[in-house]
Amino acid sequence: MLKVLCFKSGDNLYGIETRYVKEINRHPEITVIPLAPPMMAGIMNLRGQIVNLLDFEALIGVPTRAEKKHCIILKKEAGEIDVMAFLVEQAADVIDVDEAICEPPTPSLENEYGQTIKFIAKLEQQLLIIIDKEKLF
Amino acid sequence: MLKNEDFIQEFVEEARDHLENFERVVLTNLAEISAEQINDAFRAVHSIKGTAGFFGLTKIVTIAHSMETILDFVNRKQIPLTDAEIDLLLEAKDRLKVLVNDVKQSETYPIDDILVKLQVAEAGFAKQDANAADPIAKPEPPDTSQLFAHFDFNPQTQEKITAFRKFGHHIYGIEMALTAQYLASCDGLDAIIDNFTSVANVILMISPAGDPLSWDDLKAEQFNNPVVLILASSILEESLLRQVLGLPASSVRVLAENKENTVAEPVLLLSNEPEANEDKLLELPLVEFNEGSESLRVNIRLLDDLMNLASELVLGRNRLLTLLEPEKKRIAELPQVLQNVDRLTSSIQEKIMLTRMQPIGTLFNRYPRLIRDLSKKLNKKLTLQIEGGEVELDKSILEGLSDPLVHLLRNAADHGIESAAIRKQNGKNEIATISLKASYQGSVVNIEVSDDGNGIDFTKIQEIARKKKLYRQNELNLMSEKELLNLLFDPGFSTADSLSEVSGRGVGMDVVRTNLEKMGGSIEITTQSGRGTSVKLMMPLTVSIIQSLVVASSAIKMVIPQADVQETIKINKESFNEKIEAINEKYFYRLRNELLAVVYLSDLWQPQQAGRAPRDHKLVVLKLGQQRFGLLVETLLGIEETLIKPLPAILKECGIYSGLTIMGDGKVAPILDIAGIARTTALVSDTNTKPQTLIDDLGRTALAGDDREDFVLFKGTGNEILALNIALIKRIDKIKKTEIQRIGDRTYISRGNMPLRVIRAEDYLALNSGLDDGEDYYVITPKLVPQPIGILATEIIENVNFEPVIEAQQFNMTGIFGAALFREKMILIINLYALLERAEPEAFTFVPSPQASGRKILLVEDSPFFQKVEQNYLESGGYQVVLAANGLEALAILDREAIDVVLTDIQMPQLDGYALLKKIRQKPAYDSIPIVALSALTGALNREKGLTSGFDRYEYKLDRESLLRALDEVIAASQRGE
Repeated sequence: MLKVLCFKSGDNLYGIETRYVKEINRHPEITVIPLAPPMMAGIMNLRGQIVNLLDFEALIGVPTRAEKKHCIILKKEAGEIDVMAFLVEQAADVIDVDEAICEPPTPSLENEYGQTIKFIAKLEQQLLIIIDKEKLF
Repeated sequence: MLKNEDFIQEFVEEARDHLENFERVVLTNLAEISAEQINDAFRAVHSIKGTAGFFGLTKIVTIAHSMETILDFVNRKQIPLTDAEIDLLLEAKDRLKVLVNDVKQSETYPIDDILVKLQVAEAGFAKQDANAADPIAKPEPPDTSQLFAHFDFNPQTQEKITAFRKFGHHIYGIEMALTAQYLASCDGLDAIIDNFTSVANVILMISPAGDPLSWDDLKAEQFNNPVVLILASSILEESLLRQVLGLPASSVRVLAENKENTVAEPVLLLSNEPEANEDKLLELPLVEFNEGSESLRVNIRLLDDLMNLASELVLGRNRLLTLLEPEKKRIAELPQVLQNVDRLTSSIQEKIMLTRMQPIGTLFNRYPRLIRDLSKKLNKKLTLQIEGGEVELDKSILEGLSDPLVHLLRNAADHGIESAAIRKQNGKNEIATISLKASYQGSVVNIEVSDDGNGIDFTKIQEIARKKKLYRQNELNLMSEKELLNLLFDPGFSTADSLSEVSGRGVGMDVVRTNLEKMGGSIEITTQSGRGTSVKLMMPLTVSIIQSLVVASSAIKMVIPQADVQETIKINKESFNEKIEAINEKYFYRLRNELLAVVYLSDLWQPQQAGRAPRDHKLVVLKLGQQRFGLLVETLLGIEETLIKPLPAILKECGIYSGLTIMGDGKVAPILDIAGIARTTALVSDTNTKPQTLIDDLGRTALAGDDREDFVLFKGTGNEILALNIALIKRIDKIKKTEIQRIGDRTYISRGNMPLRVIRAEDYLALNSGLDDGEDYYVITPKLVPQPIGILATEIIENVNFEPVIEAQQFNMTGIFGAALFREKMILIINLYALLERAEPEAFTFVPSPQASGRKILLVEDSPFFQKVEQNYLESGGYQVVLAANGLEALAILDREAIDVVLTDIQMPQLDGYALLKKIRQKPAYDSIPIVALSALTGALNREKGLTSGFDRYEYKLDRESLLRALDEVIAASQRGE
């Protein structure tokens, strides 16, 4: 079983395994930094810690025009210096995903997303794109 | 056989300190070295030996023992050390340091070589010793150590001692010298007596001759013999008692329990046979007394945490004060409480900062050794003068200064100081002096490295700058001395005729400066021909919390370190144009007859919006070393204490920030990097700060625009330098040649258990191929392509940023966009899609959409390089292309030709992309023409801006697939009449 935090972007449902996630922030106060790389949505202060906010859609290269409200803060892994977070349209539930319903991405999806997809999970209502955090940055 | 991890770490730290002390002593001028100092060195080694023995670290023990033996000869027999012996001791110390630093593996290190040398030296000493017919008597042990020997421990005294001990008192032997100075420092004898009796009970008081004394005797005697010996009891610990009495460490001794009858054992005295006496030494209750006994070892991580918490506390206070400001009138006692909290918070923070302060002497003391080594290597006679070792700096700044100082000292010794022969010729002292001075100046510490050498030779700087093609001679002729000195900070600049072992290790002054600036410091060089050179470093005392000026432009808040601000000037919109004068869009302000270059803050990220609305501004005058410039901001929000947080890696490339800060309201704001701003805007004269303008072989300067792109330069097996846009590269990996497998006529590597096809550019393009004899390869994996593939390179040269100026006419090779000159080298810019198409046509050929044929695209683009790139992309997509170099040309073409889609660059001279969009949209006739913006920058932020301004699509210049897909979609949409 994978524990996956789901979030929406456009019409797609994405997921990231909860073991990478520190917390979700639903009211991020974002400071936009001029001249920052385009995928950088800004910076926020999380209880005294600087968090780098990346625009999730820009990061995976599938932009939508939807407003992005929520912020998924990732755990800092050994060797990482900065705390990273995704700015996403809307964070949803944490669900258990059975590996049995997961498949590797099809070539057509790989073309679009590169290697950032880990699995496609065939949920009953919708396909869930589980991203590969290790390949993102 | 390590016994305890925690203790061993403590041992390592202690041993490092001991070794440092040891080196300091051994490097002391031999003529001045005292027996006490040799004792110090001996003790340092001895402690290491003792503790290492406890942990079973035999190799460390063996070396330490040998060193100890040699020092013992020196100490006991007064045999002076020769230069060679000092070298040997230093070498042995270095070896010990290596073992200590890798303590867990220390048993595996070979040490025989150094042991042999030490033993030879030992033998030499033993011989000298035997030859000395009349051994010199061993020096008297220090008087204080025999303090208790003077007292008569009769049964009565003994009883008193036992009684006091029952109440938990310590028994002390105190030697009080009633000198005029001591009396003065304690406000006279009465005060001393009061003080003494309040903390201690006198058991016995005698003169050094043994006559009993009382306080009254002291008052009457008027100090014919100022020394008084007192046996006293006190509840206070030894260090505290000493502090209260204001006495030096050597004059207060604890009488150990159960030793009352057997005292008088000199504890600091070194025995004749150190080996035999060693155990006893370790058992003794007072092994070591030094100044360190009043300090405590604390893990630096704990201090860092404390400091962070204190910083947070300061911010919390700031927030609280802001929030409660309106309540002050309502609640009567509130102002007082707030004020108190305010004050306490500040002092807590201040004190915690102080815990991280260390005297710069700890750093300076490493350098006598360096100078000594350099003096031998360079065959010059050098002395090092150190001043201001007591100046304190934050630990992290001290650490950061270590390498730059080594570099500067090396430079001084190698380049600055002439050879002894030349010095003599010029009537200078043969022995050259290098001095290292630290001093406070306000909240800044100045550190000066100066030499009395020959000064910097300006003609030599010019010559090198010319040779290295940094500048042409006529440019150099115009430079002032200051500007020429600034050339020294150019990357890779070195004035040594040849690279010597000492300097010229590829780390130049540019690295020194960058490192200093990172810590908030700056550097200045002054030189006098024939007299010497001086390099001054100006460093902040501490890090982490700074006074800063909060400013804002376009509603974006930024922070300027107060230390960089010289003054602020209000500039009203009415008089704005008179006060801020422009020459070719460069702005100036007359500051008391000095011409001050000025830049708009908002221009840094939103260059030059046409028609700036008049409004009030504030001019912030900033100083950068000896230079000044002005920053025009819209509002000043005041001065705040802000907490510095390091800049995330992702923001470093912006080039104008030095860090981030959390402000009183909890929001984050970037801290402006004054040096960075000067660099990016070329405001101050400094070769480093100039943008890398392309100068081709005819001396033409490339057009300045926003068309600079990042390229990775690499080589295939041939000798051509190839360039691929960084934006097209997903990753670069290093692989071994053996990983490449051949299947049929194609080559593959394995990536994530999947075969990845790899190609050589030279196999498909008209390039030279060379010998394929390397071991390593790099695989460049492109992105924005329909299928994964890798390009093999034998060498990744570097990342460069330049505007590609293309000799388009001369280059019509498939797969190559053209050639560009960069730093006088010819670079071939690869057309990725064409290359891939040739390598694997079935996967990479773009199948033109059926609706493309016959469609005319108006391509508006000022850069010849991108013109060529886009034209190529569009034609491969089956479109017909009409070219325009700017917005005006585009409008003319629209007037006379039927165009299906306009594809336009944003930044262009004469009517830019936004203005063109506006003009086209104003004409109803063009209503149905879709307009697509092209940008060198990709991503959400720009896309958003592009889309909100009315473009139908916003596409990235280099992404062929996405661009063609977008065109297909907008054409389809316009046909449907949307």
